[in-house]
Amino acid sequence: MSTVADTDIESPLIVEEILEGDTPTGFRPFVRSMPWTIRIASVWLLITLAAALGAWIVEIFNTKLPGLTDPNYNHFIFEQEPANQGPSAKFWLGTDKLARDVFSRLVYGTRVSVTVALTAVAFGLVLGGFLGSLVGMIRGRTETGIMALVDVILGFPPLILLLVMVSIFETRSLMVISAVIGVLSIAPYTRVARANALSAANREYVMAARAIGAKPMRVLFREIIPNVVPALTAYAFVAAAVIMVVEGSLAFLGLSVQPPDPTWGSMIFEARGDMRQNIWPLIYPSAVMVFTVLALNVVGDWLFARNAARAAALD
Amino acid sequence: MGKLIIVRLLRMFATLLAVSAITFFMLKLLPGDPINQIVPLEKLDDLELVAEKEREYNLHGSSIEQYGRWLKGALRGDLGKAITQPKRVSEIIGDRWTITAELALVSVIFSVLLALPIGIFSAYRQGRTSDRVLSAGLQTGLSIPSFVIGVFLILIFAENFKILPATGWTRLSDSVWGNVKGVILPAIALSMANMAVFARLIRADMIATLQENYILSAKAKGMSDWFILFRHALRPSSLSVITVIALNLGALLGGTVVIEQLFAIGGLGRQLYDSILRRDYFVVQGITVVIASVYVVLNTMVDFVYLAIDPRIRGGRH
Repeated sequence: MSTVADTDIESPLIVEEILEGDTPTGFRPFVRSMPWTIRIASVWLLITLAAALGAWIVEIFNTKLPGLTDPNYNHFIFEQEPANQGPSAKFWLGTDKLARDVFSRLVYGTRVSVTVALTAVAFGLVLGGFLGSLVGMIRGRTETGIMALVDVILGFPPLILLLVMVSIFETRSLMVISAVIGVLSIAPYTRVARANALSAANREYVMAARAIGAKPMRVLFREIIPNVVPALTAYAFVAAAVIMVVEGSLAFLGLSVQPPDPTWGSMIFEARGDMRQNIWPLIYPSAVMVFTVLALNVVGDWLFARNAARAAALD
Repeated sequence: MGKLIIVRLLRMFATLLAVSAITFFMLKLLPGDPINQIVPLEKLDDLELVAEKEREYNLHGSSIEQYGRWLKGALRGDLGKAITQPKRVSEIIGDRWTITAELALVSVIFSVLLALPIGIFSAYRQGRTSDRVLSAGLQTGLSIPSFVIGVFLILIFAENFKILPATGWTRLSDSVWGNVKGVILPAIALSMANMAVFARLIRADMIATLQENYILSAKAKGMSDWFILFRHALRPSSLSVITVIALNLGALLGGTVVIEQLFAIGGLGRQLYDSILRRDYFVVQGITVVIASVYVVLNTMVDFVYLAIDPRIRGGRH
């Protein structure tokens, strides 16, 4: 599991740029400052997002999209399409041992992973970010109490608490899984936000805002939180990568969204027994999962380095 | 210093208490009453039998009373009775913890043995092509879930070359060779992500250490690169690695659930998973509390190591 500590900062170039004073803000300069690896990773993440969106659109509006069929439809029983086919115009990535469309399953599986990851990020950023910034600013008893709770939740090894919590629910829909993982995500974000809020609260501009009589809520929302958000966003990418692996592990154990609905993890689990006959249903979800997690890690690390360089330039 | 240790220890016990309480009351939320599993359906009218069984399994009285009794037992090393097998929970854990511990330990050893040369070499060649390739490889290794590695390891080494077993576990006391053969694949699968974390950390630390003046003076004295890397640079760089190793050893205990399931190894993780599926509350509770406790204690020990080594923390910033 990736930790915050292992991001190495080798970006003296960025520091120089910032010190020289030409750090234009805006979307285009932001994209232009990306190395090619980050661009590839971003494009891949956008594709993943689009796939998840596509699956949602098909589900909600009951429409058809090219290449997408019902992921649980057994094409052998109803259409005499053989199992374990290679790619074709009808089945873009072939069929699995139950003659189901691998491409559709992959896209629907992407929907699960992306939805879970985004929910976790939303819970973490909004609730964890607010809570951490708040206690980092006001300190005192509230801080001690909330951080003690966070410590206890993080005192469980990852996955163990999740396993037990998921088993409480009799039906494991996408909503339940997302909600459980989302709630558990609040604690780590709170810790990261607090650490950043602590250092932000000591800066001169916060003191200046206080000195001119800004109310605590204004200081929190106008001074502290805007300075916590960049670091928290970088953390969100790395955390989303961890969440995807965790959800994958859960699915691999059969404890994520209920079968036969596909997720990357359950696809890998199902294709595993069959890998000597047809390895492709195993390769596709594995590769997609690794690419996505890698892309999230790479982008997160890059954002970390950027932020660290910016913070260094501030001192 | 002494006060700091006491405070930290008190906090550890408070966390342990909270962890056990959360686990206990969370499991009370599970649907269904365990007594339905213990007493057969047709005998549920027999109130005397039900009451007797409730006492036997610590299910009488309010939840808080139950927790109190459970805690009292736990402090004496008794974690209650299992429902789905005629054993005590402590027996089950005592039976299986060695397997999980061996798996976790071997995997950490693997990851350190691999991470050391990669990290050192990468730092030595910092910024050159070989470093870039290695760093990209580490980034990728970090991103492959352990079960994906496990599945492909089984495919290659068990199914294709048939040199290592895909499933099962032989205890060390039964056959040393069988034990070694059984532990290799799952340990590699578990170690990959940690290896990448360690190697990146070693690289970053080594790069920082190599900037120090005493390295320059060692170079000026004409010492060989090899000697400088291992005798002068490695030791000061290893502090953070040691702590991260300890922290990850705890996290590994959670990761073993998936790997033990994949390789059909009957350790704590698999027992936990089975018990969750069979709704054997008391086993789930016992294993969760034991694993979480190991994790909490390890975290505290890491803090102490830091305290002992880094005097700045003793100053009271904590």
